[in-house]
Amino acid sequence: MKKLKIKDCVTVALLSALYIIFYMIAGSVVMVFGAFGHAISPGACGLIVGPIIYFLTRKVGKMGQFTLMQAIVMIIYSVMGAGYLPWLITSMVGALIADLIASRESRPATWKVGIASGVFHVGQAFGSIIPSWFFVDSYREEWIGRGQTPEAMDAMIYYTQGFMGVIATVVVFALSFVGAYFGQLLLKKHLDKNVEKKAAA
Amino acid sequence: MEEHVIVADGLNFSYEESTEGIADVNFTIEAGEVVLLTGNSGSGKSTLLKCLNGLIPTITEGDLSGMLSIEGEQYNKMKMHELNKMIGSVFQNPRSQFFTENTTAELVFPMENYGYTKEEMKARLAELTKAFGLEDLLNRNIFTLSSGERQMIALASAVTMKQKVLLFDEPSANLDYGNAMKLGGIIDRLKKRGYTIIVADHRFYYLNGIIDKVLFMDQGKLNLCNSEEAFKQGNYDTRSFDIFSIRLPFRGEESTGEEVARMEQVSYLDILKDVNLTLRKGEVTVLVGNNGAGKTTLAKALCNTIKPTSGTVWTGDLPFFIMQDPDYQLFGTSVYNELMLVKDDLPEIKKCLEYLGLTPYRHKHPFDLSGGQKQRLQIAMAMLCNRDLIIFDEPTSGLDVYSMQSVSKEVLKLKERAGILVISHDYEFIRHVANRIVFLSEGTVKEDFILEEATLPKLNQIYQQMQEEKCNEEVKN
Amino acid sequence: MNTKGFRLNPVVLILINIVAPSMYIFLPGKYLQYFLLAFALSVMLLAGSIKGFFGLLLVEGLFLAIFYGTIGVSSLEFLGLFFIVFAQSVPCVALAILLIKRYDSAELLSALETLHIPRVLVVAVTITLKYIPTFRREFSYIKESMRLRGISFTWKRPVKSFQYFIVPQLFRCSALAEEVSAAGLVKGIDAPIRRSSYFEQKFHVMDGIVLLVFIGGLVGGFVWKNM
Repeated sequence: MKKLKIKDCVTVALLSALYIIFYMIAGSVVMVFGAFGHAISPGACGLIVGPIIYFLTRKVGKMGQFTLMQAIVMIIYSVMGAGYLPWLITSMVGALIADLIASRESRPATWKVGIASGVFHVGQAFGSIIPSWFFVDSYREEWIGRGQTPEAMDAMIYYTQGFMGVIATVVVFALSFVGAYFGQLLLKKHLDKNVEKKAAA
Repeated sequence: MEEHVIVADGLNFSYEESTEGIADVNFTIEAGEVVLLTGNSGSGKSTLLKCLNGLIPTITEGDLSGMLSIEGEQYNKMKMHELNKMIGSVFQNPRSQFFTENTTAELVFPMENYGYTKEEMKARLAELTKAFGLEDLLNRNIFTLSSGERQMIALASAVTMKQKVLLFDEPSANLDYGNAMKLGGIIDRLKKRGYTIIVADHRFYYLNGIIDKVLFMDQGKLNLCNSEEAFKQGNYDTRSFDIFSIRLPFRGEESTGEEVARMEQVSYLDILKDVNLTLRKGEVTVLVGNNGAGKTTLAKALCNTIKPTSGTVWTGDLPFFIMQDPDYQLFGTSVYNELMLVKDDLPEIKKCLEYLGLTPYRHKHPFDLSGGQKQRLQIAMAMLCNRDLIIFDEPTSGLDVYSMQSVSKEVLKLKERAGILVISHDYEFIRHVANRIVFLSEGTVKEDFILEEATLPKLNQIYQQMQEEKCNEEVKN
Repeated sequence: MNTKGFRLNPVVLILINIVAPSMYIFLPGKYLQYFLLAFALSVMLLAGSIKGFFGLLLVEGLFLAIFYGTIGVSSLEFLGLFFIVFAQSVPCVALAILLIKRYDSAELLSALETLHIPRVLVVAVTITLKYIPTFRREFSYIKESMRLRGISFTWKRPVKSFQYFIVPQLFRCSALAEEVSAAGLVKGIDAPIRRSSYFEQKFHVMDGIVLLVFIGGLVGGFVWKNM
């Protein structure tokens, strides 16, 4: 297995800059969907950054590429005051798994890239899903005090948590998975030419 | 025995993926010399430069043999970070050579990498500030600096580790005439302070009279000239040493062609002031002026990118604008596809590719082309676009003499069917193509004349003025 | 840059923001919410940011008002639910804004080095931070260039438009990587020495006090919960 060289690290750093720009765009677009939007913003991001992820696996294609990218993203968010512990942990775990799935070869199949990207972004999503459960929980008493029955309240929390948890996870994974194919679609013609060129040289 | 600063003995390098390379290169460089490294694109000039700054073999892979040493130490026994304490490098691309957005952060960046303490960094920063006159440049956003100021930061950050050998990679590519001449002066002063300087460039007018040795590369082989005189007497086209002595026919004649664009009393913020300009078919108008004079803003107003604060801009249709950096203008998956985006007319595309010698590269990805090829691809786009006005922004920066001449030929052909506006500070190129010169200074049109024998002194005087403008700036510092 | 007030060490603010939101898992939410609000307001005052102080108060008040206004209305309770989630993160967002406004990227990076983050990451983050604004600027060039080429962004062909927008930038990144690596190597990014930082700030007594108050508040909440 090849190790990341300086040039690879620089490539990952540059792609991370693009990634963060698109992440911010996606994040601000889904903000209109409120908290749910917040939970699935990694998915919306996963979709439009598909080409970046796909390009990463084609141009770098080495073990550690996802982990390095996620670490850069997390550090920048932390430095900007937007990182918090559960998010950092689940994101890094997701990135490590993504590396195990799609970084063991230099041109992994698109479905592998899709799964890796899915896990990568679900890792990010968990970070915001898990704490939001506690946010809601902490207001359970308040609602009950205002006349909601505990049963109705629990049902609503259950629904919210289930909704936030399961649906958000599925949506994030699916969008990221599709994103990889989106990347392949955009880049196919561009990258094929390169292969041709190398074969000719 | 006197110690040579750099010794190359039987140096060879061949790339894994290309036939270019260098073979059997031998030379020595002594302390305090100014050495010009030149040659056409593909001659091995950049390869030799990369050997000298250690990027071969560190980044670029290939087969390296022979001996290269600096101050008695062999390159192959040193790590990159050891070598770079002896050699400072100044690259040309302002986009990629800086690591931060802040000048102070940029200057201390190498020292941080080498683990200096804060006190050491402060002391060194103060020395650099004094030596390079950086008082007004500290703690600024690099993006907001002028090209000359950026060059000073790049230069100062290349000697933070007290390197005594300096490598410049095509410094003139991103400098206007005034700043290039200023750089020539700085190099001369560095030489007097005992620095050894190697400049790799296609253009060398700004080094006239201060070169001690020329490493002239030709097809991977080195032709060594031990003095500037010897180089000038060789058979390479060295007219560009004294650019004002060039003898070329004049394109002359005021054009009576159809009007393609008109600006009336155009002002934009405090950048443009009451600009009047009429452009016609069959005419190559060259816009000259130092960076910051408003040249690009004027072009943007013609393209409707910006709306003038007052006055009117009229153009027949949207002009075709060829940016200085072709990379922002390429969108296709291949050369063919790129041109199809302009005009879906295969026979004409084929004709155009043939004319420009791009046919062998038609299936290549636009980003895999060399700088000269990208430039020709853009000209192909301009030829196919059928627009009435074509604007070029610095089309020859970074091109060697021969590529510049072929661009000139093509621009002249283009004017048969469109009006051409060229922004350029490349004197030689201007002499090749210009019918008309428009001199912009501080946002106003200072001169507007047809270039012919009688008006040539006017053009030369403009150049003189641009140089003085920069030198006065220096005094202010 | 505002020089009134105390300049907290950025490391303190970063650490607080990393830890604070996850404390909702261990502490009673309402206690934590009001503690964080009070804490963030005090930090604003300490830093001399009057605008930040009132801004935070206003936004938090607005969100809480929406929450309490909709809680009794059966069809609107979801709205309240969303807003209360926002309301709980407002103090941290306020601290984040303070962090970004008061410190430039060099200072923030040096904070990382205090935290002993590996060299390769520090250099990579330096590059990423520089190219975020660079690429943003370049996207406007690309948009402009698309317009001049007559292939401007259109929602009629979103995929094609997006392709023109992003693909060239990806290829440029890979070409750029070579140049940036070269520029970095000649500046010693590969030196096997512990990196130092010019912008490193000393840790003052006040930084310690702020951290202690923060930890004290958390511990207090924990004790209170288990009483």
